[in-house]
Amino acid sequence: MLTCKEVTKLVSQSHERRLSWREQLGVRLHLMVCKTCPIFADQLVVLHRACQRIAQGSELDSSASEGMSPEARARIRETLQRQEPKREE
Amino acid sequence: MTESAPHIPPCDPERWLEEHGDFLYRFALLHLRDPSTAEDAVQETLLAAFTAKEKFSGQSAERTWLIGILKHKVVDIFRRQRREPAMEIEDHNRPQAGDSAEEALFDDRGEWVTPLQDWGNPEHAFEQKRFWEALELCLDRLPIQQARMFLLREVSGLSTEEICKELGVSSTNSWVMLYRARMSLRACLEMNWLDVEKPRRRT
Repeated sequence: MLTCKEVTKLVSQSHERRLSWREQLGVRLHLMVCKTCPIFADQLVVLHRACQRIAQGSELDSSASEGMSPEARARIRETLQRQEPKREE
Repeated sequence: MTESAPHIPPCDPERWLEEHGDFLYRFALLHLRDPSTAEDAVQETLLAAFTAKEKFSGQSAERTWLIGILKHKVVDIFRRQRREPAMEIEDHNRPQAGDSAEEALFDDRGEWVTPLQDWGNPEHAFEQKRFWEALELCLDRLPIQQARMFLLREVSGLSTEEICKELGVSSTNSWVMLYRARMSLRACLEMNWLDVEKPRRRT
């Protein structure tokens, strides 16, 4: 019977590679009798989904962390403006 | 039956900066940790988007398209930093020696010392501002290599082969790093998101 420690490693790896049938069986058996490891597995899924949300362009907007400084913004805006062909007003 | 073509907003880098600048900056900062490097990455992204041969075709959201370009810029920067160690930023979060961080979580039978808390419905968690604040905090606390590994994998969606190539690590190494990152993150999240009212325990 696999230990919780071994199962946590395999559950983590299952996000990157296909487990062998032996490993899969070991993990499944353990998850059936352990109260904690299934919670761990679920937590990894929450982490994964949270990261997907960030990847899709949300959740960081209303963040407490700082956005770009006004100086940086201005610098970037200037650089971008220099790239654009002159517009007629 | 043909529908009219989707409205493609005009290619306007200043509008992109306005609408997406902060998000792109925070996305870059998450990966790069250094504000001026992150600013450069945003600038490079917007410039690349503006001069791109393959213009934005309106098939996906505009922000998704810009994020795609930014992801490449981030990988480029990681690659540059690998080649020039002087460019590397200081890692204030030293990884724990050996397995010691995880050792503490399991007893000598390999079982959890403390039960874990159920995080409940993910959608409910995602509605909480504190969840996202805690996640950002916890990502920032990871040792640099673990953070890069985790972000490239989970946020940028690179395969392990690609990450191993970019960061110059073996796949076994990458699994170990991802495991440690996940173990740290879930513990840190629990403490900073769920346990906020409870007295702090030393990690």
